[in-house]
Amino acid sequence: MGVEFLGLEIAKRALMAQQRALLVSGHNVANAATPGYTRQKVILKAVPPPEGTELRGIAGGGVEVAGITRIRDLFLDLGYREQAEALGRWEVRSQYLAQVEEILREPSDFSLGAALDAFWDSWQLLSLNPESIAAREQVRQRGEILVERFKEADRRLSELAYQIDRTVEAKVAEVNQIASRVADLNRRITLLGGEGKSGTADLEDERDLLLDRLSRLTGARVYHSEEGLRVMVGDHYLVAGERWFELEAEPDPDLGGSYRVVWAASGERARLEGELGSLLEVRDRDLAGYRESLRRLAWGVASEVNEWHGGGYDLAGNPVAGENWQNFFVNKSDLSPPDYGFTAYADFRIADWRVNPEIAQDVRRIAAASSPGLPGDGSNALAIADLRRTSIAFLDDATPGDFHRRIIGSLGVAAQGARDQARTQELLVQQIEQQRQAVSGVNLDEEMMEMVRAQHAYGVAARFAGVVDEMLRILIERVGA
Amino acid sequence: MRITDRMASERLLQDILEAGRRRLEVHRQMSSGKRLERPSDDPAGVFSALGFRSLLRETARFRENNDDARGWLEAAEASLSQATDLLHRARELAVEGASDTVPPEARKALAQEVRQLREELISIGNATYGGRYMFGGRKTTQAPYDAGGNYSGESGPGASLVREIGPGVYLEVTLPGIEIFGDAGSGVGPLKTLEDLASALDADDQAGINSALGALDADTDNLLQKRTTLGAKLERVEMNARKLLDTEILFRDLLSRLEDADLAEVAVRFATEDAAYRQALAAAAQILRSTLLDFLR
Repeated sequence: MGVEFLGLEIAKRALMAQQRALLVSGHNVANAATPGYTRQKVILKAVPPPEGTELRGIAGGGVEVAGITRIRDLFLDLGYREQAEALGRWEVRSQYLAQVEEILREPSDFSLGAALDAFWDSWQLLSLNPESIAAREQVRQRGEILVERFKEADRRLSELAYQIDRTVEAKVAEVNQIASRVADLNRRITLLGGEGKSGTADLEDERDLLLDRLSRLTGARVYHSEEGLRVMVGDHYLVAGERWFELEAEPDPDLGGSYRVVWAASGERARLEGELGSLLEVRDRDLAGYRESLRRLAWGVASEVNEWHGGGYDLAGNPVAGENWQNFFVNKSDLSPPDYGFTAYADFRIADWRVNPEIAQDVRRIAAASSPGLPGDGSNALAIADLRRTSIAFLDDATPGDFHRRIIGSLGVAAQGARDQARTQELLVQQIEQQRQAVSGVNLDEEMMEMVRAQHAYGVAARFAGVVDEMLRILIERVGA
Repeated sequence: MRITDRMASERLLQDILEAGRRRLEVHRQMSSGKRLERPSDDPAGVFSALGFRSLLRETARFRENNDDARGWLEAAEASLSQATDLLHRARELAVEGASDTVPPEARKALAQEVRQLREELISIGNATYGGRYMFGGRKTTQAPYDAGGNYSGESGPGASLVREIGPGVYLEVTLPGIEIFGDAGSGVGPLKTLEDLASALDADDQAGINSALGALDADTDNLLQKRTTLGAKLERVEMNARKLLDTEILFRDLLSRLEDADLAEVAVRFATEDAAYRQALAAAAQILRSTLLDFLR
């Protein structure tokens, strides 16, 4: 090939390369606000002169576009995903513990603790006026309010667990959808020749965004390998190259129908972290724990009250022991011996708990007296009222009030810890995201400069083409004439 | 470090949100007046606050019990005071009847009067407080004395109403009638003495009158002793009332210090946070507006 047209060739390549650079800048600017977008950069390379020409060593062959790369730091991605997992975990925990706080609503005058105080107070009042039907009626009512508060707290905690099940279901569906998208993107990236090849940048961006979300949801870890990208959840592949493995949320008979998450193919339980892991943990450990504590408190109070009540005498002066109204609190409809409607702790459920209907029907059956035939005797009522200050072995040697305060105290510590952790974690994630943005984000001023540079280069290259053209024209005219 | 546009805008947004969150938190405290709204606001503080709340409710209960105890004691004291007057009157009658110069008819008239006094004493023994018989021990729903002065109320140790006027502090607020007015049936106390006196006056039996006079003095002494005990209990109840009030004020103060927001402080903090929020907004407006484009060309 002759030297004469090399000039035009160089000019053409320069025009094309600068056009490319301008387009990439345009793409960057257009995506300045796109989440997960990584800025792209044109890699320009000088072209050596054509082989076998006399120009070797005198001039080059112009410029060419060697590729378009994503400016991204994989190490920062790794760090980001680790912190995002922890953020998901603590945020879920903090959010649900805050709801538990809402349910137990302490400190307040309408809480369970207040109802407990009011209940003891009604027995005090009864001890002042054991002959009074009104005072007896009040004991019944305060007893029912106490039971109602316990039931409401228990019911709302179980509703919260149900709500968690629904959330788990939705998030598992989201994980499956993301996994299938990632597998699909893997396939398309492989088709284009693998990571870093031309045309894969935007696909890789989309995949990275999905992987960020995936690690937050499940604590998934990402590995780049020869066979393509792999994602692991626990010790199981979620995505391996173009294949992905489905997760499934299904009712677990061992958990009373609550949902568990398993691998659809093997039925093996998935080891989850992140939001999903935290949801299951909050449900199975925290919520179940608070419900159990409440059940324990309820049974402890009921059994102590029953114990004293059963030893007392009603308004008619007769012992209540052996009658259907021996127990003040019951949890069965059958009030006959041997348990008189109140079962052992193992069979006790807050939902079945109530004031003995025989007593509710006729409050004269409340045993306020501790001796027969003495209507003015309120000493048994006083003994029951004093249970408020009595350490109960079943409640770990705490008084009922202390046991309740311990529940609230430990909830407060847990909720505060989770909230602080979530906030710290959020800052960490923001920090890494800032670092990631510093590397991969689009700076409009910088793109502006790029554009101005490309524009000038384009202009001068066009000018160069004109000069070569002029040169050739002179040559043709002079020689031809 | 490169500063990119998304970075700048996200950072600014976070700062604005954070400043807004802090402002809202202070505003919440300002409008509710409470520092503690949920256990996680201050777990240790809430734990103590719950304890104080419970103690406060309990103290209010003891104050009510204390007032109730005072009512019973005052009512008993009033009845016993009447009984003392009555015994004094009986003594005057006995002294008059013991005189040598009194003719038998006059003694009969005195006997009549003594019998009336005795009936009056029976009705004092059947006195009620709030619809309940005070002197029948814990048998509060039936009259302890019949028309003949026979006692059917409760007697012996523990035969009285008990009030809890402090944690674990129990006070007996009534006395069984048999210990004050006696019992015609078993022949003890003033009821027996007055009957003896009336019979002696009727029978013109001077020795009997004199022995009744002696018994009457012993009865009066017993009554005064009971009144002294009552008086001491009333004094105790008064002191206890003051003590309970002090306790209540103390708990209220402690609770308030734990739970309530310091309004002056909160107001100042709100002003600060509000200013910070506005600053963040103003700074964001400044930073987001300028680009290289403003200066090219």
